[in-house]
Amino acid sequence: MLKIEYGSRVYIIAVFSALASLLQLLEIFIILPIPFVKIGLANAIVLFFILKRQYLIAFMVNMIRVFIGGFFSAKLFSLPFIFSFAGANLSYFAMLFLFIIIGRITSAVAISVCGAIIFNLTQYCLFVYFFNRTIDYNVTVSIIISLSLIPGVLTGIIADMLNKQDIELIKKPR
Amino acid sequence: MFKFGDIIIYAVIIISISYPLFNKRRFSGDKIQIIHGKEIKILDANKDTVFVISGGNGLTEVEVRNNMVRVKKSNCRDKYCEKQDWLNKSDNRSIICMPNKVIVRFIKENSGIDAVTE
Repeated sequence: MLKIEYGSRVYIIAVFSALASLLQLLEIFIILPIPFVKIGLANAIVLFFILKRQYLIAFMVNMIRVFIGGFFSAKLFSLPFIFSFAGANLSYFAMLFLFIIIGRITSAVAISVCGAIIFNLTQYCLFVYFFNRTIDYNVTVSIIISLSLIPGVLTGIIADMLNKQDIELIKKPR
Repeated sequence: MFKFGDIIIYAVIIISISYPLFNKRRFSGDKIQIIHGKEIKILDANKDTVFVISGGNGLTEVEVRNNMVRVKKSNCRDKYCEKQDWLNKSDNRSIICMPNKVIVRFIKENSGIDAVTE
C-alpha cells in the first residue's frame, strides 16, 4: 500500500498539477494514427482524484494543468485556450456529476468516456459558434463523439488501474 | 470492471452517434442565396433561370433548374465550383468559388438576411 501523507492540500495540488502538466506536454510527442485525437493522460489524474472523492484537488489540478499547458504551448488566453478551459471545466463537472449520481453502478471507464465526449463537444460547439454562429446536430457531432471514445477508454483504464493500486491519501493532523 | 450503469451510458452514446445518420428531419431551403463579395442576391428556387455574375476572373453563370442549383460555367482556373455539381434543396452545403468570390447556397425563407440587392 502506498500512503501519501500531506499537511495541506496545497502540496498535493502542486505535485499532481506538475505531474498532470508534464503528462499533457509529453503527449505532444505521442502521435496516434487517428488525427485530432489525444490520449488525455492528464485527465486520468483528475479522474483518479474524483474516484478518491478528493473533488477540490481534482478541480484545482484540472484548472492548473490547463493554465500551465496553455502557457507552455504559447496559447495562454488565446481562443484555443478559452475553448480548452471551457472544455476542461465542463468535462470535470460532468464526470463529477456522473460519479456522484450514478458512481456506484458505473465504471471509471464509462465516466471517463463521458468526460472525453463533453470535453471535445464543448470545444466543437464553441468553435462553431465563434465562426459560424449556428450549431447544428449533424454527422460531424457523430464523428467527434466516436473519436472521443478511444482517449476516453484509455484514460479510464489508466485511472481505474491507479485507483486499484491501494493508494491512500492521509491528511496529517495539525 | 463493467457495471450495469455502463450499459445506460453506452446506449446513450450509441444513440447520439447514430441520431444524425437516421434523422429524417433534414435541412430544406426554399430560396437560393448568391453572395458575391458584399452583394447578396436571393433567387426563387421554383423559377428556372440562369444568373450571371461578373467579377473576379470573369463571368460566373449560376443555373437554377427543377429546384436545384449549380455553377454552370466559370472562368476560374481550377473549376472546382463547376465540379461540385447540382445542389438539392436538402443540401446543407455551399458551392464556393474562391477566385470569383462567389458563394451559392440554399437558405430558409426567414433566415435573418442582412441585405438584399436586385
